Amino acid sequence: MTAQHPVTRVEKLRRTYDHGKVVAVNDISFEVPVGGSLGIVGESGSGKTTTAKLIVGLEEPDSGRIFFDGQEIGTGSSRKLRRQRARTVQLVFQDPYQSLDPRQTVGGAIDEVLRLHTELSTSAFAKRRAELLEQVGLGVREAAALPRELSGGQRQRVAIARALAANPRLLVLDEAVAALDVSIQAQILNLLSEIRRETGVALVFVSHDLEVVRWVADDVVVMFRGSIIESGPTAEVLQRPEHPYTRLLLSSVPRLGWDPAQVSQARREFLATQ
Amino acid sequence: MAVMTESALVRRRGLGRRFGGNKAMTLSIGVLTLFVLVALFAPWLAPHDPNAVSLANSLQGTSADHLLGTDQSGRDVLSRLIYGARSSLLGPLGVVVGATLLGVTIGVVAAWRGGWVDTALSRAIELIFAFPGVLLAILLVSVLSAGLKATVLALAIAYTPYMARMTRSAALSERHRPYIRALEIQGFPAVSIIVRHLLPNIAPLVLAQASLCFGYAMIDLAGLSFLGFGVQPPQADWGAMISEGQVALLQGAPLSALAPGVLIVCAVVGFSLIGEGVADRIRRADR
Repeated sequence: MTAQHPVTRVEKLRRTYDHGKVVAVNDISFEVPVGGSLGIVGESGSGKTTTAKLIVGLEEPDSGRIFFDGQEIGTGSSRKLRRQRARTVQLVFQDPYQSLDPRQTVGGAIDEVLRLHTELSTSAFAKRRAELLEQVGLGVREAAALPRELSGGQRQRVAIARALAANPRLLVLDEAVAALDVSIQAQILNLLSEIRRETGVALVFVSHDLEVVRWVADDVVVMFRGSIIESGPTAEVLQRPEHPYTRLLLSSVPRLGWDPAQVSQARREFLATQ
Repeated sequence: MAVMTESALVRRRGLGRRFGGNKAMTLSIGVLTLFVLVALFAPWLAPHDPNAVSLANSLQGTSADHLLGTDQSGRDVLSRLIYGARSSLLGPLGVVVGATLLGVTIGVVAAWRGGWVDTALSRAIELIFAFPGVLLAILLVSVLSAGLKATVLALAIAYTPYMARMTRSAALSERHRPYIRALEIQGFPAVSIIVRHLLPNIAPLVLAQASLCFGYAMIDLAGLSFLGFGVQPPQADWGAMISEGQVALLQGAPLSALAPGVLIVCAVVGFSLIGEGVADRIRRADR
């Protein structure tokens, strides 16, 4: 038996804008093992969201390759490719207020995706639908509701359920809890860990929040100006950061005795050396 | 359970606002509904045959038999107004339906495809924009023949840019919202995303614009009828009645020209108020 392929392997991915003048993502490579979870951290503009978009196919790379289960899915936006991708990798957007059709009920949104990606009998369909709702902790009442009748946390649960409906191998979460209250963040993060344990779906967390990543990611890559500057097991990287930028990020997390002026000063000094 | 009743309450309040919030709009809807009913039931409502000429009775004032008097051919003005509601409402409706179908298609395709498709369609739309609608109508009438069909067709084309431009900008801002992106990532075909998600979400805007256009189209059609390009005599039409009533106006029997004029103003104002009202509500909801 050959060694198991990682769910996703990214090889020397590069994406530039404005005719190559702005390098958003600069030759980055990483792997996500089956059922694993990877955190991609960095500040705004570090290229982490572009990376997420590249993985799910919202953007096409200038060069580099993306493998899913050892196979390359072509880049492009044809319907067939998009559908093939959707059954492998799904994205949960940052803003739960914007990522759902305001005129579609929660149940309708999930049904629509199930109809597109599966060919279930009527009874199996209803069962799967109930299973998905239950997985994200939503009830019958929420299923009949329109997005505007739900809270941010509930909406994000809907978005997660919809993403899971296609039975993907990988779930990419682009700042998926950043727009939520801290207590709701914890609920959603717990939910994701649970879903990962139950379904074996691998997770990629794109976040500026080191605490979020510490909570859910096994491995972490730190991005700065489009490049990966440090990577490794999350606990290790956050305990003993090697790169000065990672140390800077860690010191920027607000906590007791935290001094914003000092952080800004350290940041200026670091950027001056780059 | 408490949560459930709460959401039901919220929805009911929304419905209440839809019908009661804006008095001008409610009144407009009432007046226009009345017009439509009159047009529908014209044969039962009209006291006389609208085309019955009686030269002995020409230009009579108000009487029990002829509530709004007669025109110079002795036809009952009220009956002609009632029958005239048909072509006067159907004409603009044809213009608006045609312009909306064409304009929304062009606007959505341009917004969705972007790139050269957008450029080509936008330029084509500007080309039509540059061409006065009435002139286009006169041109088409000279090619086809005078009548309601030719003028409606011409004005539908002339109004297409208004619908297309508005639809394009609305669709463009909608297209880049994450929920459309999310559906794209799922692998839904573009057509089904557009029909099932994008169009319903921009529909209120399109509706507002369409009802504004209805008012303008009514004036233009009345103008064309007045000039003799639109509805042909002896068919009753508000615009044509104003034209025929010119002479009567000078002879001191203003009702035959004035009455259709008043109705046109009412209808146009009504449609404008509805359009503004819908647009206003969308702006409020967006905030």
